[in-house]
Amino acid sequence: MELFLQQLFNGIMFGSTYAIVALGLTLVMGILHIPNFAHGHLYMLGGYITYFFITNLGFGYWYSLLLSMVILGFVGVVMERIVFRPLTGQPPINAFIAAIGALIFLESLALVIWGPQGMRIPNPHPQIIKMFGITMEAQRLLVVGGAAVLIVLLHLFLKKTTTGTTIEAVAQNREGAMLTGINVNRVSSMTFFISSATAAVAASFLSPIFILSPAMGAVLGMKAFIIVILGGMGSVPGAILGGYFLGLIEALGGGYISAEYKDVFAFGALILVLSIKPTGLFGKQEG
Amino acid sequence: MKKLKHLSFILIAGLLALGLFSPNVYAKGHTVMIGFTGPLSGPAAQYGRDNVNGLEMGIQDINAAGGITVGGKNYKFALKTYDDHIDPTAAVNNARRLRSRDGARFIFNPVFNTIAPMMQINQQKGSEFLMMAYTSAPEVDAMKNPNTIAIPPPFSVYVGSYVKYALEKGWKKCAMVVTLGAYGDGWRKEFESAWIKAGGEIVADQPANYYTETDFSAQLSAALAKKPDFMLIGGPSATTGLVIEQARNLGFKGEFFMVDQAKLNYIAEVNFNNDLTKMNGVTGTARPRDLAEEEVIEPFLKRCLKDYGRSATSENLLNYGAIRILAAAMEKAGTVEDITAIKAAIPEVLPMDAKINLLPFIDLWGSRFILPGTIQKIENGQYTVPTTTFWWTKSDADFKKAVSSIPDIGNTNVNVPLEGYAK
Repeated sequence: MELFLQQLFNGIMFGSTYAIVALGLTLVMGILHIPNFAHGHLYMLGGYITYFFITNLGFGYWYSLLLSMVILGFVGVVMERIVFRPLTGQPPINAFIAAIGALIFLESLALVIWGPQGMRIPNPHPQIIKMFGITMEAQRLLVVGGAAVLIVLLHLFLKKTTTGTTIEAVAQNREGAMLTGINVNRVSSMTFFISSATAAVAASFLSPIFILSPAMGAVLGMKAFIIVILGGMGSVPGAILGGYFLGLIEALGGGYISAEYKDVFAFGALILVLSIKPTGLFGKQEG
Repeated sequence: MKKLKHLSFILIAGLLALGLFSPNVYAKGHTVMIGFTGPLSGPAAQYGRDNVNGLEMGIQDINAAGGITVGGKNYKFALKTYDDHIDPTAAVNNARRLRSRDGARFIFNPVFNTIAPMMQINQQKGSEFLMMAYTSAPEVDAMKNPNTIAIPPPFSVYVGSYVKYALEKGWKKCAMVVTLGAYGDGWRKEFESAWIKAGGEIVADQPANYYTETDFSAQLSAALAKKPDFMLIGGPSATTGLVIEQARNLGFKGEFFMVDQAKLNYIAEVNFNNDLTKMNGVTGTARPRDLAEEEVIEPFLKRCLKDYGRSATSENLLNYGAIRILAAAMEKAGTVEDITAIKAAIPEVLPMDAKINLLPFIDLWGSRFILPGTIQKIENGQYTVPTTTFWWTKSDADFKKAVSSIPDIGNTNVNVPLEGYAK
């Protein structure tokens, strides 16, 4: 029983980060129809920016996290402006290739600036909490709680504010939104800002527990893609549930059966869901 | 279509021009080209870099000492490196390119997964090369490839030392959370059979991908539920550090043995900000400082820090030593091309002056350097006196002779003859 609870907690912790990273990705994919393969690498860059503020400038953890959010948000805006916007109206393959280019650029950039050596952000909350017979690191609890707060805030923003609803409007009908006077370009920039900022939060939450390296974004980026497809392209609840779902599958499957099959479970679930419901769990039929 | 043809023509012309004007290939004077293919990007990039850095320093020193003289001609060394992302196909292609285009007859590679396929092509007539294999996988020795030299001691040495230590402690239950891949699988299998043979028990075997994952709580929770006395862990250093930290946080009180890929001093530095109390009860291969006499090793450690901004690793040391030995063997054999003659000359130049090649390389055993394997434990926040294992000496007399042939640096010496290796 204790082992099960421990694995459950591990799964939820991982699911939380998957959920926020996938959330950022699904916004960009669903609204702008840009397959941003570089999303995982933005996440990596977010971790390094937080590292820079904490280690090189000596800022506090939360202050660095906020700065990292804002800075990475603007990196996202710049990326949208110079990489993806010029390709509007071009065949989708162009955006594909541009995204891969951006990915390689970001990884090489991190390699040049910070080098291949792993780096560590000092853990701001190293306390250990024991509850119900399971052991939790305070920072991991923070990840779970922080992710939940972020998801609620984002939901409120998208549903309850005028600015937020413009994002949904563009997602539903680009031309229609333009006709009602919504500045589509501004919405694009804003979406990229939010998407990158959430990636920065996820990276800042996780990097004190783990190690920063230029290659860390690749795996997470790929998993975020699985989740987005699993949950349904562009679906916010799909990304959240898909994230927790994948986290739990990995923890329980990996812990009980064998870690060697961890990816088998994750991709197996993807294939299974897609063969039953090709649009993903929460995907809407196109057209 | 016409446009496409045009484009491809330009592309081909461009590639040709690149090939013609690329540096290194047409360096002036006589050059011995050393090749390297290995991970220089991606998750294992640092590991690849550490190997290259050792080679670079060795080559700098060879050239600073005036190069080598063979057949009345003076040769300088040069290094050409290619990235293979641990992809066997890329490694083989790189090796072919290094041999045919760059003229490298000595090719270094630091990963067993890529070394094995390279050993399939290093005997092809007219394009032979000496495979300089930086791997402790004992499979390399079983392949009996004459054009190969494996640099570090086989990991069986550490398996033997760990089993001996665990028996002395009276431990019974072992849990393994070791990296996936040919190297990690080899370690797990060998340790498992040795430990069971010694009367121990493997209560959990939860391998994990140390290259792509950073959270091991799923594997560790499952392993710790079986209440092991000690754990065998390891893969790349930084992730191994995470495993130690996560296992401790999950309440594990026992000791750790690390596979030889993970480095104590690297983990202390990167993961724990040099707070050794966080690594109490961890045993692994000894830190570089304790592998040679102080006056020999200190300048080298300082140099690594100055030139590369990081502490020395055994990859630096061993590759450095290997390239210095190669240079000496070329002079001895009187050729820079005949790899068979050069390999045959290696036992004649060993052991070398410790000032030149730092570590006590003693001889060549088949296709592997004979070099003692040294393990070390961290206890009470300090590095303890390391244990140096002599694995090729059968009799006590041999052992005593071998011990006296290397500089005494205060380590504990033990004789653990390795099946199939002892002479």
